[in-house]
Amino acid sequence: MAATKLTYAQLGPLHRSTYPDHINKSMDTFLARSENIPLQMAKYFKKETATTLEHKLTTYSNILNHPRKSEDTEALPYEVPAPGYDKTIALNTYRLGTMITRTYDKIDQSGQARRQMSGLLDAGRRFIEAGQANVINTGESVAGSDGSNLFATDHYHEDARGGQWSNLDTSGALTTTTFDVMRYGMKKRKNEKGQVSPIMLKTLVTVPEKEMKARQIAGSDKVPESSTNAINPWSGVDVDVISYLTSTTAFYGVGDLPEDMWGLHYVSLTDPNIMSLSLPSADHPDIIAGFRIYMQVAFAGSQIKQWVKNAGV
Amino acid sequence: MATQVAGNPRWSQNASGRIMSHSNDLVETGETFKSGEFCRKASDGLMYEAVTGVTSVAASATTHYALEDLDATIGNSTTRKQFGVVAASDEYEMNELDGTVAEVTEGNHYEIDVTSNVCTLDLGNTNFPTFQLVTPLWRIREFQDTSSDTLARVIAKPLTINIEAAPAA
Repeated sequence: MAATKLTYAQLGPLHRSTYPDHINKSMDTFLARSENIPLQMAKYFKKETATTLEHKLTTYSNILNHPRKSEDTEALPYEVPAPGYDKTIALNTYRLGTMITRTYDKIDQSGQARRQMSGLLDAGRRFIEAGQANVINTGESVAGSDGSNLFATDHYHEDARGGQWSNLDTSGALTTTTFDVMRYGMKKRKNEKGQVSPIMLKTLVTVPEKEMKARQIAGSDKVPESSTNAINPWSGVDVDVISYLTSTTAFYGVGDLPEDMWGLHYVSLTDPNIMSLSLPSADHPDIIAGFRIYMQVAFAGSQIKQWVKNAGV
Repeated sequence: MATQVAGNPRWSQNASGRIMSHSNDLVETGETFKSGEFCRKASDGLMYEAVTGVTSVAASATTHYALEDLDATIGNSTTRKQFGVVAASDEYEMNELDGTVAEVTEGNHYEIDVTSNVCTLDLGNTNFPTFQLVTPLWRIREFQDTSSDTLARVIAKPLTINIEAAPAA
């Protein structure tokens, strides 16, 4: 059998020439094709409201060094927290429309012609998920607010005296061992003064290709790779498998930091919205209905302290 | 990097808000084309599938846009078929023939390629250009198209000289 590639003309509105099956009276059943758009990324992004097409953000802290030995009679030592990195996020306007002709609406045998225009909102939802995932997908090549790539081993703390920190582990296959390295690395994370400020790894995020291994780590009483009945202490860790991530090997530890420190930003000046077009119009009296989606948004990372990546193998 | 799958052009928008107008035209015997292919109305009044690699802009013109398939078995000069009429400010989503498309190609003029009833924009052919490349789609359709795509999708518009040239034989 030969695979068949459908071709179709797209001439603007939904038109009878594009959908001969829909005007075919012998067609008995019309089955809807729709898509599944799981919302997997949004929970990791801080939603921020922009006031212009350029959104600027910075961070502040209250983190100070340890108190010093100092007698009552001595001058009081003072200190202020370090300033934070800033980031400018450019928003773009995104639009897409769809419309329908009078004749197609009238002669369509499915009764679902107008439903064919309902995909705009799904397109917007998919776009947002893909845009958020793109921040993670490109995190090893796109710079964050501190000049390092979003996932890098050389992030400077805001107080550079605190040294550097890493959210990129040495690549290795997902195993109980590499997971453990990630976990204890997060638990030993230092703050900007170089002092311990642990991050508890709450969720093991990975890609569908590594879901089986991730669930073995999260679901086994014993260490999956061991034959010695060693207890698996990480049993029960949350696993989140994200289909929008493009790597076939990567896994990520996601910690328990407060939302302001997530470092992942979904910035919106205009949330996705659907508007009915002013149709029919004088120019097009027989284009009888249409809709458009409109949004002004951006997705970006600043400093992703909340996540640690292992590119896997 | 993704290798896109070539498909026929799709009308995307018109700068003046025009919707593509229609015509019903006679088709030269034996011509075949698929929906979404560009066609050329010749000086004999008949419609021909657009061609590539010819020796003049008029001969490689793309004056019309096929709205329905035409198989060889029914092609004849008494058969009228539905076409869209290509206008100068139309913009089409097209595949590049085989490669990636960089931003520096914006504004340049190219021929189309027609192979196996599929029209693509050929950035390797500037002999008798009929289209102007407006922009690679990866620049404006984020998270779907990428700059490393081959058979990259672009927005292109027909040159006036292409659609208003005196019909060739």
